[in-house]
Amino acid sequence: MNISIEHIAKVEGHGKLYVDVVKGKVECVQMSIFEGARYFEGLVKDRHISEVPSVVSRICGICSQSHLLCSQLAIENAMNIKVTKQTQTLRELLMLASLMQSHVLHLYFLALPDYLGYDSAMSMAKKYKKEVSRALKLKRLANDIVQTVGGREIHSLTPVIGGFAKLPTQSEINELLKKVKEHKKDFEETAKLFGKLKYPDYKRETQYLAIGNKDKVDYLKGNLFCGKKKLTPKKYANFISEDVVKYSNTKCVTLKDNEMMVGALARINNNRKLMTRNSKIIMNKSNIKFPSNNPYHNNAAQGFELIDFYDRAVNILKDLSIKDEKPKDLKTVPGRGVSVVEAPRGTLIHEYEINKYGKIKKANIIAPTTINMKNIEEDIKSILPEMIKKTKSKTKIRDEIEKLIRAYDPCISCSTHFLELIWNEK
Amino acid sequence: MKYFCLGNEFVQEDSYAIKLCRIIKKQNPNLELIECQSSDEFLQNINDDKIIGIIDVVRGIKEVRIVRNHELKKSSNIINSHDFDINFFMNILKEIGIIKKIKIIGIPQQELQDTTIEKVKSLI
Repeated sequence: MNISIEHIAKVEGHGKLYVDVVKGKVECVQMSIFEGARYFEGLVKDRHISEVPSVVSRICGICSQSHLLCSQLAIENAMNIKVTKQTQTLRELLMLASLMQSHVLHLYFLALPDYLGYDSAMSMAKKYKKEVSRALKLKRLANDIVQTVGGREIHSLTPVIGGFAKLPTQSEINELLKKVKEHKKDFEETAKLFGKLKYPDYKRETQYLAIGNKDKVDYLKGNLFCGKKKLTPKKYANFISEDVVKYSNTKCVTLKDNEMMVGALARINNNRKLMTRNSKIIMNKSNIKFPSNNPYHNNAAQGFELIDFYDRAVNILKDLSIKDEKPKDLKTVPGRGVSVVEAPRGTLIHEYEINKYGKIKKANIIAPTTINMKNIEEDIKSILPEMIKKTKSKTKIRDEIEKLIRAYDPCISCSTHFLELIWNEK
Repeated sequence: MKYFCLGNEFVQEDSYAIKLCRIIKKQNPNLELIECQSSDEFLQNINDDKIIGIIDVVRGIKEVRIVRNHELKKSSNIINSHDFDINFFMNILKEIGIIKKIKIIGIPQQELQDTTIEKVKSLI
């Protein structure tokens, strides 16, 4: 039996899934991304470092802040620039808002229809007006935060290497705090909703990679942890392999030759004890127990993370007292800088080698979706025999595979609505 | 009634509604004309407006006219997170009852002429 899903598509691209089943045994699963190469690492070569963050933020419109900040941090690491506490705090706030926005969009408009049995958010909207309205309110709130801190909703302008080119005013921050606090119930309702959905009963052991810190969950700095094993970001190439595969335009990323998962589930599996009290209370009241080896629980984890983002955003805004300060001077020295951040979809790595003129000699960017790709393949390999036993319906199998892929919230996930299933049975 | 003027002032063929918005606003400062570059800005400016207006460039029309909903390309099924466009949001806002009616004024994709401006003013 040969199953081909001909069109998965990367966020702005295309992908397909090829599955080979012989006598009920899955012989081969290949997620093939045939989207044309993006060439961002090549595009920034020979460009001055001051241009690079805004160029790479264009990799994605949804997680543009993650790429922007990761790039700035990597360059600052290379130049040994230490930013102020205020810059760190504002960056964290920007990141939290970006995570909120991405999770809300994915959870309500892409994942929820799957679990409620609808083919799209539009067909669900009439019956679930309250939920859709809540999603729109939360999206708007996240946009407001990004706009206030970053200067505009997408592709922020104000964060620059060394600080902020323009700071929000104290009254804008105060106003924002008021607005954020008004949405507490919306965040809680979201976490409760995704904590009580009926997720498919499936689990498979894998490795979970996320940034870890001793005292608090951090999205912008720290070491990487795979379970209890600490991995230094600077030496990422010693433990993370990127291999070219014949069937895909995306590389196959592994940790010590094995697949791994990044994203909300990995973060909660690794760092749940450091989450805010409020998020832990709601999480513990749900039926889902962490650590979990069920990839569908990634959606529940995203819901619980939203409470954590809310609490952290409120705490930041409460304590923030804006001081007028300029970005640190950019004195170019040759060097190499690596940065890891927790983007909405998981760990994102940027690495740059910079010459004495402040121009990029070499760049390497590893996006979370690329890291998750191998894990998705392995999940499909493991879940498919059971699916085939349960049904012979091509549509049902396609829908279930799509649902699994979508649970990862990969940049290609959403596009799985587009999947075309070609089934050749021998 | 609020009118959202959509487009990007830096992309010539997509800039005409924004330019038109500025001209009309100068002549009639009381009109609620809002420049809007993205679906986010659109969402941010909708409050309790049951009926809203959209002014946008429409490829293929020769003169200013009202564009009916059935003429729009359906975007009810979003494929990925990048598909949350204004059309999607307009439709979902209608589905959940926040908006009751949308009036879309289409303008031709060409340099603004006095007749275009006057026609839009008469339709507002």
